[in-house]
Amino acid sequence: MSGGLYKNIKMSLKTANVITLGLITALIIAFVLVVKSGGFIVSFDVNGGTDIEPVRVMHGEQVILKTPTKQGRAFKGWYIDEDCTILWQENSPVTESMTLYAKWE
Amino acid sequence: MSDKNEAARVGKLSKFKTLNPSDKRRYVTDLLFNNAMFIIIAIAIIYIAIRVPAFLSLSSVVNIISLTAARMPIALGIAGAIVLTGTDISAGRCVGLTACVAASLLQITGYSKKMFPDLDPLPLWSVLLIVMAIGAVVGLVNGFFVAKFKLHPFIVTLSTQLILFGSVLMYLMIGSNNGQTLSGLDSSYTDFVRGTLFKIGTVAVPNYVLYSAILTAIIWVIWNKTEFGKNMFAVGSNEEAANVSGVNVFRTIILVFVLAGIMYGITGFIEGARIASCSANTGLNYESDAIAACVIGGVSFVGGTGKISGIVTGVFLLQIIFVGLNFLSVSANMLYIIKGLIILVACAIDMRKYLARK
Repeated sequence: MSGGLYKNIKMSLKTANVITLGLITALIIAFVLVVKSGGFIVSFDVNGGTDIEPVRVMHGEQVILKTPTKQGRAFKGWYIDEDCTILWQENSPVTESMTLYAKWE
Repeated sequence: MSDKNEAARVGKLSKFKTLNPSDKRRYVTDLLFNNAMFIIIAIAIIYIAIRVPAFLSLSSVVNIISLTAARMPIALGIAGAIVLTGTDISAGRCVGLTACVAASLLQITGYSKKMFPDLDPLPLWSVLLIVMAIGAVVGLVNGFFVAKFKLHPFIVTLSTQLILFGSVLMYLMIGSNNGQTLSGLDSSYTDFVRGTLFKIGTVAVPNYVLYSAILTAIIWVIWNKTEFGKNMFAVGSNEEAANVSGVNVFRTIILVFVLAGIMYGITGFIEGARIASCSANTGLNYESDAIAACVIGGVSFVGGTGKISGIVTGVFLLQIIFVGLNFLSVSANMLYIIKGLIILVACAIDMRKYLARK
């Protein structure tokens, strides 16, 4: 074997052990941190209406929908895409961070 | 348990017992390091299963299997490049381009935002051939520059990655599309890819799981039962020695990248229907998942080694982790940190294995 990517590495096994162990520890710490700060962020793009703060929702929970207001326009619901073609069903469980877009008539 | 197995196990055990203490310690250390990734993943799975029992529900398992199937072809393609001690970071953008091309040719007639308003959805097999051809061309360019000019695959595929991204952006501007997301796909396309293969209880397994399985079998045959497969491993292991023993190194390298490109094209075809809405961002960073899966699965960066079963395991374990973290409400943006560290850990373990053998 000609060594491929590791062809020119001059390292003792002990050093390799230390590096590997260090990275494994970093991975485990990353796992813990990432899980601890868990929670999907649902943001609301009100497109000119009154601002609504983003909310944090856990997996499988429902997001509480508020109705924004806009001068002279009627609110037509929250949509998943920016073009407002796919409606967000009110009682759907949240499975990912997302932005909901307000549709105005 | 047969007598032969028993004898082998006893043999290993007694051999272990006869090792002196320092060798024993070395053996155990090697064992722990080499399997560290699997141990960590196993612990994570158990933790998640306890915290969120829904993780092990039937629909969740079928979802994991489906995601594994969707991510398999690109991993199989990239594995070839890794066996050659290289890499292929143009994979994701290639998938993105082919997905957009496939989607644009298979939009439903009369759809208001159709890219080619006068074009009826083409027959599926012709679109599949078109995207496979696009992938093959990309692979040809990659392989040619690597084989002919001895440029490192990283540089070559970085360039093709950028060219492909530009191409996708330009492609999405033509017709009456003007840069929008492609959706409104014809049902012949979506049914073919996402239609129900069979149902387990109430949970449907999509068609593309079957296509992925067939592709995996085909690549297994190519890797293990053909002259080309043997040559690929020979060139990856030691290019000079392979050249001396009569292997056409130039042609082998090009064919490996062309095969990879074809796999990306097929991935794009499946992905277009699977996500049902393609944009310039489709395929972004797909290669990072594929490379991570390959390295976890034993396709070493030393080159010249790798098993299909390992790749399948790698993709599967990676998807279990991602789905599991999703159940713990970890958003996709945080997953990048985990992915990066997984690649580093897998590479460190791989490098350590090589150093231990020297």
